[in-house]
Amino acid sequence: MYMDLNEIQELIKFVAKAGVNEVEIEQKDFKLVIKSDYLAKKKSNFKEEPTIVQQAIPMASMPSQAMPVEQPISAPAKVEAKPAPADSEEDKYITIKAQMIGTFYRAPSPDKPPYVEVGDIIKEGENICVIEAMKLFNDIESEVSGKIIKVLVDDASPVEFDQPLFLVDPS
Amino acid sequence: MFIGNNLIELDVVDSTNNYAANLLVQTKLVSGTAIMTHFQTGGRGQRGSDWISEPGKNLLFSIVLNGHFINSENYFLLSKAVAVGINEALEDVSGKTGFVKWPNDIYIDQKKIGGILIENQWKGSLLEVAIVGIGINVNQVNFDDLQGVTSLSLLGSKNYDLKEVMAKVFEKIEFYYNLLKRGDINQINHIYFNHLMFSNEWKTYDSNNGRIEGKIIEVKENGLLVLKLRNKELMTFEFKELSFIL
Repeated sequence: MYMDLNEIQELIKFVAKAGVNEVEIEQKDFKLVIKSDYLAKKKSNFKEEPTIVQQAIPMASMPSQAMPVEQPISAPAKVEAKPAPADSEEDKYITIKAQMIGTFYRAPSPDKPPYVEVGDIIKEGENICVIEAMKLFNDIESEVSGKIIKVLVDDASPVEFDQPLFLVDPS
Repeated sequence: MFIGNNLIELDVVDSTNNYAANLLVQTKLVSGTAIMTHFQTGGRGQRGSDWISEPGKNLLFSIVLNGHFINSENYFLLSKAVAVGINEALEDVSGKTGFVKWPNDIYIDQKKIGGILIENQWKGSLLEVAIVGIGINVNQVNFDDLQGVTSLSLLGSKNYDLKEVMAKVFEKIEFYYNLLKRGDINQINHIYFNHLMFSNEWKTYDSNNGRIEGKIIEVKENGLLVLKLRNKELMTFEFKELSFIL
């Protein structure tokens, strides 16, 4: 059974006039339920004020869930294109990430200078920071060689797993 | 025994961990190499806090261990193995029951007797070398104003031979290190939990959200502590997020 929109509207009018609250039609691959809270309310009102003349039920007053008719799903309003990176230079940089959660330290101990500063050339295998976790001090080695472009985390601040720590220019 | 088979004894050093780290820069060290000293000028506890030790009275040493079988997700297992080893050794020597206070302090009679400071050197996500620094209060009896601290000598009212105690600690750490290397991870977790202070007991703790009552039901392989609250909710804590009330 297939019903187009006009037929469904006719059916709703018919149901409204008949004064029933709910109609359910179900066939193999088709199900239509029409419910009317509006009607139910009106009916109860009738009991209190029986003098009111029944009015035609305006379509708009039908609760929307009364028509589980397939409707085209409106497409998302807009899909914003990602702005092109202002600085395409960033692409060639490598990010060194935290391999564990903990506290990030730039120096081997509080009285020592930082392992690396911006502009320093580092070699693969060189210590670049310490992550303290559970009273364990983890010396983190760089897995790349290159120039430190940016230190992305403040000294002595907590870091999450996979959080970017350094930006390195490998060229 | 491979731990302590190579032993470097120093009169004075800034810290045995630093000494080991510097040595590792210059040369390769056999796993199990130990460095002991009679006095540290720059001994460290957790970052920033110093370890106070009278010359010649306490055990201050570091062990260099290969950690190739440990990764960045379960690295706390080594800390568990070491803590349990030290605790058992001190129990043997003192005849008293000791506890590991999460994450890795050693307590007897609710007082701190030993501490561990591990420095891990990573190659990617594999542990290249662990420098396990250990401090144990042995013959020091005067701790000035320091509260909540004890020593083997205070507990046993006698002096102990430092190297005998150290040999016992080597032996026990080696046992648990070998368990870990064999992959007996469940056993390490189980034994650590048995040695853990307040495990499975309802206790009050200080947390970021004020005082809470809970029961430690697990310490994970990355060191996080799981507390079960009275309302059966589970809360996970990182070190420093939860303090014990002794």
